[in-house]
Amino acid sequence: MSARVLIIEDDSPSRELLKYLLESAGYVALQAADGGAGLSMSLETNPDLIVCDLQMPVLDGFEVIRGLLDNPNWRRVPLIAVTALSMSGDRERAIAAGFDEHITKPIAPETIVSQIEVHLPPALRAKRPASK
Amino acid sequence: MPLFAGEDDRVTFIGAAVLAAIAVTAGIASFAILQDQVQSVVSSNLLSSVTRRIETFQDFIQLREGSARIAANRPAVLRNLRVIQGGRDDGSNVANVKAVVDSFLAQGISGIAYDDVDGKTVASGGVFVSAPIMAVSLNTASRAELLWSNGLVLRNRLPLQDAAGIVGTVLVEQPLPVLTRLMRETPWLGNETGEVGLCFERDQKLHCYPTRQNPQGFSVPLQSLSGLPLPMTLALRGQTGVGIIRDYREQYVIAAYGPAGDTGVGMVVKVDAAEAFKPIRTQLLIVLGLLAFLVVAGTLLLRWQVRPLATKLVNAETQARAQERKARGILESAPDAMIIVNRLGEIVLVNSQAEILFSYRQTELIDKPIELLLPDRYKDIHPGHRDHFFADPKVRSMGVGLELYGRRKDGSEFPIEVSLSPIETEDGVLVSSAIRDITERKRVEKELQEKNVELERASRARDLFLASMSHELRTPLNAIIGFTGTLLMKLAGPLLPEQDKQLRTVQTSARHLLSLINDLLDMAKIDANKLEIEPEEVDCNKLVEEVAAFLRPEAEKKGIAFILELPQAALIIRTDRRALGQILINLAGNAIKFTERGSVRILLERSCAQEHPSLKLSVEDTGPGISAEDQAKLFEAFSRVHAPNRRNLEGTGLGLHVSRKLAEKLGGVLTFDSEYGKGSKFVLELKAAEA
Repeated sequence: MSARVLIIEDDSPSRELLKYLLESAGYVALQAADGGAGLSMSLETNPDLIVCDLQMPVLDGFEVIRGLLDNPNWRRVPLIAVTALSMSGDRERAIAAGFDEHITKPIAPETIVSQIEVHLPPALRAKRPASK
Repeated sequence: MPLFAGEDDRVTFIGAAVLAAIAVTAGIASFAILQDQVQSVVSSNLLSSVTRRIETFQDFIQLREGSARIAANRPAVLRNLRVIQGGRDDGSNVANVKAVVDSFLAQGISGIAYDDVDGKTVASGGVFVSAPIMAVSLNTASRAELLWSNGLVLRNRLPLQDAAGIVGTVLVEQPLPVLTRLMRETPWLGNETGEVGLCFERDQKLHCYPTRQNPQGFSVPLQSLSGLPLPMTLALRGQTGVGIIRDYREQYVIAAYGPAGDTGVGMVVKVDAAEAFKPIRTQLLIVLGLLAFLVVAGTLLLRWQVRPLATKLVNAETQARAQERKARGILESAPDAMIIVNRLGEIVLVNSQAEILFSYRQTELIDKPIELLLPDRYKDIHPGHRDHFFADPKVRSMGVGLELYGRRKDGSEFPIEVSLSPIETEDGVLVSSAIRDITERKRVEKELQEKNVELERASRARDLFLASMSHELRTPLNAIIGFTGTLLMKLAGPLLPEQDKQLRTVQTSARHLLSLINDLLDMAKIDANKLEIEPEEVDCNKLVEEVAAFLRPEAEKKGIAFILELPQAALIIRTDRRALGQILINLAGNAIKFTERGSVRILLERSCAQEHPSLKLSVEDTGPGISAEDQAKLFEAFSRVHAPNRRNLEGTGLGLHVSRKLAEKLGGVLTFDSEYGKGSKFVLELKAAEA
């Protein structure tokens, strides 16, 4: 069974792009269009990994991860921040907040999937022939 | 040399005048004291003199009257006269009376005559005064007459009476030599004008016995011309006393006077005031002479001995004035209001700036308490602060951290700044305060503060703008670059060669747009001084390898050699990872971009030129090089190098500009060396300390 990845992203083209890339790689992509929806879906759907934008309406990425980490019922899964924030210190802030990875936009379509799935347990990684 | 010629002579003159004034005052005072004492001594002596003389006079009159009565009561005389009266005289009776007469003549009686009841002289002897120049009946029991004939003589006519009745009378004349001498001798003092007067009143006139000055006796009115009673008049009215008074000659005398009992004569002892005071007048003259001498001598001393000192004093004063003028000049030259205050808080000196600042005239401030210039609410505490300052006088600002206010004459207040400094003077320590009106500065400060707030707001707005620009521009690019990538990855299916070519153009352009946005944002941040450097430990070998991995595909595609030369040991320094990475990407990216043949070489070295080991990163290419013309503006924003065979599309003209700025931010230097036609070499040197 393919691992399920929740994409929390308010910009729908970016969300579409990630979904397309992840699904092309063999993952099940779940989507949330803002932080609030993302937080409730994270708790309801128990995804295997969460990719989260940082700047979003309702709740931003930092509020989402705080909500998750503060909730004792939430099962800890890898959290990947994908953001257009590229000011110095942004990466450090994201890691400090609890994210496992910080990827800046624009993403590189060639490498983004492998950057993400590194954080999944090997058993949950999508099985596909070595590409390229 | 003239006596009084200049400033120093003025001092001498003043000195002499002061001496003279002292001398005159001392003279008058000493004279007054002496005169007073002399008068009191003379008065008391004259009074005791007149009292003593009156006593003597009365004693002698009484004594001589007694003698006359003895002559009248001689029993032998009475018995013989009774016999003679009876006609039974045998001749022996008259002889017996005559014998009595002779015996009396031997006892100090100058003349004596026994008469019978018919007035016929029975026996007489001696000499009788025939024409006395003065005569008066005394108010005594025997009604004796006091005569003057070459001296005082007392004449008595007494009845001769036995048990059977009157048998005759006796006339007795006795000279009074002691009293005469008493009248003529010099009384205690007054060799010249001293006089003893003995007078009686008759027919509204004073009749006086001869005196030293008037050997014939004299008669004068009861009062002097001025209408005041003469001393003798007072005596005859029964008064005893002494005083300075006008006598019958209309001369001032010191006179003691008194009545000689009830006899009807009075006595005066007097001396002319002029003579009485003559000794002290002499003394006064001597004193005045001495004082005059002192004045003259003092003046000369001042002139010849003290004059240099006076000159010095005058010079000192002149100097002091010059000094004051100088101090005043310095005060006036100060840009601030200057007020000099003494230990008591009294204003000693102010400059005209202070007059203007506080709207007072200088004369209204001198010697006034400094609290005049303070708002009332500080008046009570200010003297305490002043004491505190004088306890440890040193240069300092007043009321550091407090808002100070001054008060103008019209009561209005204004903010001030005061700096205090002690001044050592001959009059003790003074405090000089420089006072500045800071109304304008306060206004500017407030304006600046407001402007700062505004700037702060603007700055925040720009930060927000930069952040949102970064986000908003990158987000659509994310989809463009991303989906171009997925198409080129043929995830959506195979591509025709033309489709592939066109998509790659889209991809390149999108990447170019991204780098343009990045550079613009960086530049904006640098210019706004918002680019924060966050030093961390950076493994430079690894960083260079990462950048190289990113750029290598481009170099390989162009068919140029991409060479990395890294040190054996890891080079780790504290610096900003992103800034260092961006500089390298810019430099290496440029090198690849401009080089068509040959190689791009990245060389990382540990530089030991400085005290701290530091980094030296070189990027060398075999490209066209940079013309001298281009070198001058190489690091300017939007400058582009003209290169042959190059499409002008690529390159923002911002890369080197941003790189140099970043290098400066990191505390490093970015330099280059290029020979046109042969290639370029850019070198980044960082002084960052090794971690």
